[in-house]
Amino acid sequence: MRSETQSAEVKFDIEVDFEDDTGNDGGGEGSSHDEGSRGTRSSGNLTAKDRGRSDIDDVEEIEDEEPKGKKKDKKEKKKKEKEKAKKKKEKEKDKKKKEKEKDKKKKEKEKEKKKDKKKDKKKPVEEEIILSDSSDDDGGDKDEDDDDEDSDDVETIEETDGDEIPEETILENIQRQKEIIASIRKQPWRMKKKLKTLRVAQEYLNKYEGRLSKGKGYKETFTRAFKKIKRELSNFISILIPWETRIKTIESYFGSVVASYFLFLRWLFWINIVLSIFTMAFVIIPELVAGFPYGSIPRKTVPNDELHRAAHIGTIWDFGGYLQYSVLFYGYYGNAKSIGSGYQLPLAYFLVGISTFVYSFAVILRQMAKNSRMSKMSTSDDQFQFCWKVFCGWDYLIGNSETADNKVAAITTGLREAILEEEEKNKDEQRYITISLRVLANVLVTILLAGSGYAIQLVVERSEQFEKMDPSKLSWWEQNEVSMVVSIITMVFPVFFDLIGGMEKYHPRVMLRWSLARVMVLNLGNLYTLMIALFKKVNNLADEARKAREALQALEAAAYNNTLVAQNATAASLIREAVAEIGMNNTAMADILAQKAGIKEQCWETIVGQEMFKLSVFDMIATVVTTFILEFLRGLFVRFANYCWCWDLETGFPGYAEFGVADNVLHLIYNQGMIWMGAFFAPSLPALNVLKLIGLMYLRSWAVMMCNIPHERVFRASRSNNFYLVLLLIMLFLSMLPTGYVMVSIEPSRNCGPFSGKERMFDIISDTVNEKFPPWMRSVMAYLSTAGVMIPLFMLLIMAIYYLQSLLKSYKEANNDLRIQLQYERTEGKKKVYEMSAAKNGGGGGTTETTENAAGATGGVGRGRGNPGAIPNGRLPTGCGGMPRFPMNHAGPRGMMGAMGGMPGFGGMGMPFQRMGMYSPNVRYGGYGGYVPVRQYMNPYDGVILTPPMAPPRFRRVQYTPQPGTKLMAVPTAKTVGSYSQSRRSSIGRQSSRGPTTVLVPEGYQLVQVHVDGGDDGESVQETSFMDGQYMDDELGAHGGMDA
Amino acid sequence: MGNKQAAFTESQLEQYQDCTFFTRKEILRIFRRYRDLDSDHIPKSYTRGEASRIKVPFEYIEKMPELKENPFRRRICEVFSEDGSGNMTFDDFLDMFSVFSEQAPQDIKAVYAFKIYGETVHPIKVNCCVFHQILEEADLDDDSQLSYMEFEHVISRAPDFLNTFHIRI
Repeated sequence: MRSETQSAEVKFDIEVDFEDDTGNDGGGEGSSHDEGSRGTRSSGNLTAKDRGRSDIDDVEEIEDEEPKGKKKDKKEKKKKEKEKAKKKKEKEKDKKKKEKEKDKKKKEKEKEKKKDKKKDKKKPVEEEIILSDSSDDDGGDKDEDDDDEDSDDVETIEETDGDEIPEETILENIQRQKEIIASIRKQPWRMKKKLKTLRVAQEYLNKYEGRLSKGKGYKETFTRAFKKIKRELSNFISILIPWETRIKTIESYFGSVVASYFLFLRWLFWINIVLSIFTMAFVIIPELVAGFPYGSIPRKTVPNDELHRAAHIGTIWDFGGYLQYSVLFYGYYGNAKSIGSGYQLPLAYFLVGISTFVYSFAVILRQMAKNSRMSKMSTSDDQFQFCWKVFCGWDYLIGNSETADNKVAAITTGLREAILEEEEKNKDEQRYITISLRVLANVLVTILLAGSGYAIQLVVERSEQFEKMDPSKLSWWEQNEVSMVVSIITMVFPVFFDLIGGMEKYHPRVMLRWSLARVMVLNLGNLYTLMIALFKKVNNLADEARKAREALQALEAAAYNNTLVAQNATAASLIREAVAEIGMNNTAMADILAQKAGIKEQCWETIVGQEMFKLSVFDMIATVVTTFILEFLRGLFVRFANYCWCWDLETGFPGYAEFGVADNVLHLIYNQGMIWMGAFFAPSLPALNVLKLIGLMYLRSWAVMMCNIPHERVFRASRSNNFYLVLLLIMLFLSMLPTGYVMVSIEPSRNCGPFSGKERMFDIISDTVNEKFPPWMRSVMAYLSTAGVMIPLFMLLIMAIYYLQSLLKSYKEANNDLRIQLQYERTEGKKKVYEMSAAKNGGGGGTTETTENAAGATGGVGRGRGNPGAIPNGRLPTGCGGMPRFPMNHAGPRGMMGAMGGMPGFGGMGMPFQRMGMYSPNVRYGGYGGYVPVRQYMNPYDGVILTPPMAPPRFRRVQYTPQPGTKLMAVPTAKTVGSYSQSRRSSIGRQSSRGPTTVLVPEGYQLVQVHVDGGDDGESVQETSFMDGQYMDDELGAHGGMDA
Repeated sequence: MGNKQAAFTESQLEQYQDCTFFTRKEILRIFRRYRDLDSDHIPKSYTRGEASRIKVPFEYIEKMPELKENPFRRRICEVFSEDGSGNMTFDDFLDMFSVFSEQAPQDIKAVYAFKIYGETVHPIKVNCCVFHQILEEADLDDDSQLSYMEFEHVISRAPDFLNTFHIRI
C-alpha cells in the first residue's frame, strides 16, 4: 500500500514540476510572441472573477486526488523548498549560473508570487476550495494570463543571461524539450495543457536552435525537415488505407470480434500487395520487357496441335492454351543467363521465390511480437477472470442497440457462468460416458480426415488419366474434378466436425478450439495430399519423358553409327519404333515426340502452378456460391417464409446464418497457404490473391451486414490475441516445405522455366557464387557449407534454443513465486489488520485507510454530482432477467442511496462514503454482536457502503481538529470513513491540514484518528483516539427512515 | 469539404497532430463530426481560440452513434470535459477520441478507464458475489479498494482491453 501510494505521488510530483518548468521556460520567450499568444489565449473566457487564482490551482487539482496524509507532507516540503529558494536567490548574484538553476529560480519566484496571492486571499479554506472547483473551467484561461504576467519579469533576467549559456546546456534543454514534444501525446492531460506545454516547448526550440553552432544547427533543421516529411507521409498513407468506414460500420454492428476478421483480411491484403509488387518488379516486368517475346522460342509458343483450341473459353478456364504460355506460369520464363542489359532473370526468380517466404515470416513474426508487447504478459490462466469480465467486458465499438443488448446479455451470461463454474469447479460425473464419447469422436474425425486424403489422392490419379485423353471429350466435371473435390471437402467437412464436436460435451470454448484445430488439420492435409499427388504425377511424367529421351538418344547414336543421315520422315518412324520397343504404351507422348522430332516434355512446374491457380479460383467461386445459398437465400427464406410457417423460423430451426469468425479466419489462412505454396510455380498468384481478397472483403462485408447475426459463441481471438497469427505461421512453414523440397532436390523441367538445364534449382546460387565472387570467397563459402561447419553451427543453435528455453522456464517459475508471495502477503496483511482491530475494538472491524488511496480509487468521486441514485443505470439489460437470484436485494439500498444523494446536506458531496468496502463475513461486529456480512448491503459500482438495514443510519456531527501526521477514519461496523459535510471531496486533503472541520459520522461508526508512522514498511497504527458528537436526528434522520 | 482547410490554421493542425494520435485527415474528420453535432452554433472556422471556448452540451454529444449505445457515455463525457459537466469543447472532444484511438498506448487508456470506471454503475447489476470475486482477484493490498496501481495491474494483463476500449471514428 505504502509503496504504491508513494509511487503514485511521485508520478504526480513529476507532472507538477514538469508543468511549472515548462511554464517558466515559456516565460523566457520574446515578447513579440507573448503578445501573439496572449491574443489567442485571452480571447477565451475572461469572465473569471478570481484573478488571484493562478497556476497552482491546476496543480492542486491533481493533488486533490492524492492521499490526505501525503499531501500534508508535501505541503511542508514545498514550504521548505521555498525557504531554501529564498536563500539561494540571495546567493545567486554572480552571472555564471547555469540554466538549470535559473529554471529553478524562476520557479521559485513564481511560487512566491502565488504564495503572496494566496495569502492575500486569506479566505477560509473551504470557501477557497469551493471556489476553485466551481471556477474550474474559467480558471484555466485565467491561469495562462497569469502565467504570462509572471513570465514577463522573469524574461528580463533571462535576456541578459542568454548569450552566456553554454551550448551544451542549450543542447541538453533542446533535447529535453524534444522529448517533451515527442511524449506529449501520451500524457493524460487536458488538451489545453498539452497545447500550452507544446507551444512553450516549441517556442523554446525555435528560439534556441538558431543560436547553435552551424553544424548542429544544420543537423537540427535537417531532422526537423525529416520529421515533417515523415508526418506528411503518414498523413498521406492514412488516406490510402482502404475500407476504414466499412470496417467501422461492421464493428459498430457486430463488435470487435467480427471486425477482427476484416482487419485480418486487410492485413493479409497488404502482405499480398507487397508480395505481388516483389514479383511484378523483379520477375514479371523484366521478363515482359527484356525477355524473348511470345512466339520466339518453343517454350513461349502454344504448340501447333493445341493452337486450334488455345483461345477456347474452356481452355482458358483451365488456365491452359494462351494462358499456360504466358508470364503467369513458371514455364514461360527463359533460362538465358542475362536478359536486356545484363539482368539475371533466373537468379532474380530464385531470390524472389525465397524472399516471398522470408518477408512473410518477418511480417508475421513482427506482428506477433507487436501484439504480445501490447498485451504485456497476458496470463493465460484465468487469474483476473472477474475483473476482466467487468472492466474489459464492454466493447466500446458497439453502436447498434440490438448488438448492445446482445452484448449486455453476453456479459451477464458470462458472469453467471463464471460464478457457477467457480462454485462447481470440481464436479465431474458420468466421466466414462463422456470419455468414450470423446474417443469415438476422435476416431470419427480421423476417419473423415483419412477419407478426404484418399479422395484427393484418387482424383489426382484420375486426372492423370484424363490428361492423356483428348481434352475435348472430357466432361466439365472431369476436367475440374480435382479443384471441385478439394473445394467441396473444405466446405462440407467442417460441418461434420461441428456435429461431431457436439457430442464431446466440452466447454464451448474448448469445443471451438478442437474444431478449429481439426479444420486446420483438414486444410493442411488437403493441401499436402494434393501436393504429394501432384508430385507423384510429375514424377510419372518425368519418367516417361526420360524414357522417351533415352530412346531418342539411343536412336540418334545408332543413326550416327550407321552413318546414315536420317531424314525427318524416317526419323519419325524410327523414333516411334524405338519408343514402342522400350515399352512405352503411351502413344500420345510418343506422337508428340515424333511430331516435334525433338524432346517435348510436359512442364510439370507449370502444371503445379495451374493446379494452384484453379484451386484458388474455385475456392473463390465456392465461397460466393455458398455465401449466396447458405446465407442470402436462407436469410430471405427465413425472413419471408416466417409469415406462413408453423414454427418460428427466425429463432427456431434454420434461423439466420451466423458469422463464424473462426471458420472464416481459417478459410483465409488456408487460402494464404495455397498462395504461398503455389507462388513459386506461378509468380502472379499473389496478384490474383490480391484481387481475391478484395472480392472477399466486399462479399463478406455485404453478407455480414445483409444476412448475418452475431456469433453466439464465445471466442476471443482478436487482434491482440496471437492465435490467428500462430496458425498463419504454421501454415506458412508447412507450405514452405514443398517449395523448398522442389528447390533443392527435384530436377527442374528440361525445356521450360528459368532453371532448365540445371541439375537442381538451387544450382543457380552456387553458379553465381562461382562466377561472380572472388576465389577466396568461393573457398570460404565452400568451407562454410561443409559438415565441419554446419554441424557445430547446428549444435550451437540447439544449445541456444535450450538455453533460452530454460531461461523462459526460470522466468515462469520466478513469476509464479512472486504471485505466491503476493498471495501470502495478502493473507498475512489480512490477519494483521484483523488482529489489530480486534485488539483495539474488542471484536470490531478492521481499519481501512480510505483517503490513503492514491488517486482515490474512484478518481472522479470528488466531481460531486452528488447523486448516486441518478447514475446511468436507466437502461438495464434485458438479459438481466436471467440472473440467478442472490440473497442480496438491490432495491432497498439503491433507493436509499438515491434519497441520500438527494438530501440537501449532501448536495455537493458526491458519495457520502467513497469506499467500496469489502468485508470478511467472519469478522464480528462490535455494534451488533453478530456476524453480519456487510458485503450484502453494498453496491460495488456505487462505490458506497450501505449500512445494514437493521440499523437505520443516523448521523452525528463531529468536530474534528486534525493533527499533523494523523489520519481520520471511521471504524467499526463497516470500514468506512466519515464523510465531510461542508465541502466537496476534493477538499478533504486540504481541510485536514487547516482549521477545525465538521465530519458526519453514521451511527454505529466511530471516528478514529490514527497516527501514522511513515517510516515503516507498512502503516503501523500507533494510537487511536475516539471522538464524540451529538446525533442530529432532526437534520439527518430523514433517510434513516427510508430503509425501515 | 471544400473549405476544410479553413477550419484550422496549419500550425494548429500541427499542434493537434503533436498532441493526439491522429493524422491531419482524421483531425479534420473529427472536426466535421463535431460540427455536425450542433452545426447551427459551431462556427466553421476555429482559428481564433474557439476550440477551448465553445462547448457542445452533453445532450448532443450523447446522440453520436459512437456513444449512443455506450452505457458509460455520461461518465466518459464527464471525465473528458474540462469542468466535469459533460459539455465538451472541441479540444476535449479531440482528446477523448485520441485516447480511444487505436494508436493510443495502454497506459493512457488505463488511466482514463480508471477515471471512467471509478464512479459508474455497470450496466449489468453487479451483485456482491461478483464484487467479492473482483476484490479477491485484484485487491493486492487488501484494503478493500482498488487503487490505480491495482487497476492497472489487472487491466494491463487483460487480452481484450486494448481492443474493446477503443472507438473508431
